[in-house]
Amino acid sequence: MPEKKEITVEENVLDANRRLALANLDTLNRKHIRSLDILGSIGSGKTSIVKQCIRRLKKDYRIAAIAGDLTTTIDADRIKEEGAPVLQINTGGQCHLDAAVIGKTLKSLNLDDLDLILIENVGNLICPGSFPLGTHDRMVVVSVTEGPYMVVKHPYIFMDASVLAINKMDLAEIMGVDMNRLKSEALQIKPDIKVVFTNAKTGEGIENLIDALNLKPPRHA
Amino acid sequence: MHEGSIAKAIADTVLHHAGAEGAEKILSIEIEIGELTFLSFDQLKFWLDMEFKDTPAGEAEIKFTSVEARLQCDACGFSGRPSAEMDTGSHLALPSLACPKCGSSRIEWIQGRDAVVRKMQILKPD
Repeated sequence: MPEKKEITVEENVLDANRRLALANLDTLNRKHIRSLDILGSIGSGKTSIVKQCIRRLKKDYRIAAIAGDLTTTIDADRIKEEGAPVLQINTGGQCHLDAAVIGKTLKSLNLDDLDLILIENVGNLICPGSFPLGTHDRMVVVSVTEGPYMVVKHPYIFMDASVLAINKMDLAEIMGVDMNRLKSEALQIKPDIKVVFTNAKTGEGIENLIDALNLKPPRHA
Repeated sequence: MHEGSIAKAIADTVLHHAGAEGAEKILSIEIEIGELTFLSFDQLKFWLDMEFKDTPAGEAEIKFTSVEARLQCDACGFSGRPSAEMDTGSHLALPSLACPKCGSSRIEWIQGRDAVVRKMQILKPD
């Protein structure tokens, strides 16, 4: 007679990603590289912000960018225009980057020649939340053209974020969006989050964003 | 949408343990899902059914339990549920990720962010 048996498994399936994220962080720390994971909807302005940051920081930092996308190389092609090495990760159907794919990508970069890595996550406000990549900071980008409810509708995306960029500030009035309200809602959700208003098209507010991200000059400056 | 990759990880875990035990069939699987993972049970079930097709877990009963979010405050020592304040204007519950007692952001999530395969019942051949 076959025998019934109960097996205790006690395995958290998200731990595998967390362990890889810690390994990535350790690799980055050993090479003295700062890193940033950038989250936000498609069209919020993540790529434009990455471009503006590279433009301002490339004289002080040796920067690489990693662009996550489902299928296209549009983001990587745009970032390349700033003269920084950029690696495109096409996730296929996957709605987020994970620590494994970032670990693999780090191996293909010459880490001895880098001070800063900017990672643009897949345009999604739910799934990346469960998958830390092992970066030092997380930034969320919300744009006013996404309407007045972007912060309250996605409160948990701020859980591990230290900075919120409210982008397309020049369009707030036309859109009828109160940016101060978005800011106060973000602060209600996470009182220590730093909120910066930006216009990634013109570069307005990007210096404030760089301050908020605490991107001090690196060792090679 | 991340249910697909989580279901794959759950299926790998289940089939690995069942294989190690020499199971001929998996009768039931108990899975705990933290509320802060935002995983939908229905979608997870759909993906698990796909993963388990033509495996010893093909007919397994899958039992999900939701685990509530709890935080620990490093500033005041509070341990418990986060608060959700009602925004009466829009009828949305706006949660606060800060300590509900002292308002500090120096908190750690001690529960609610995991997806755990707790146990399962298998059938072993003679």
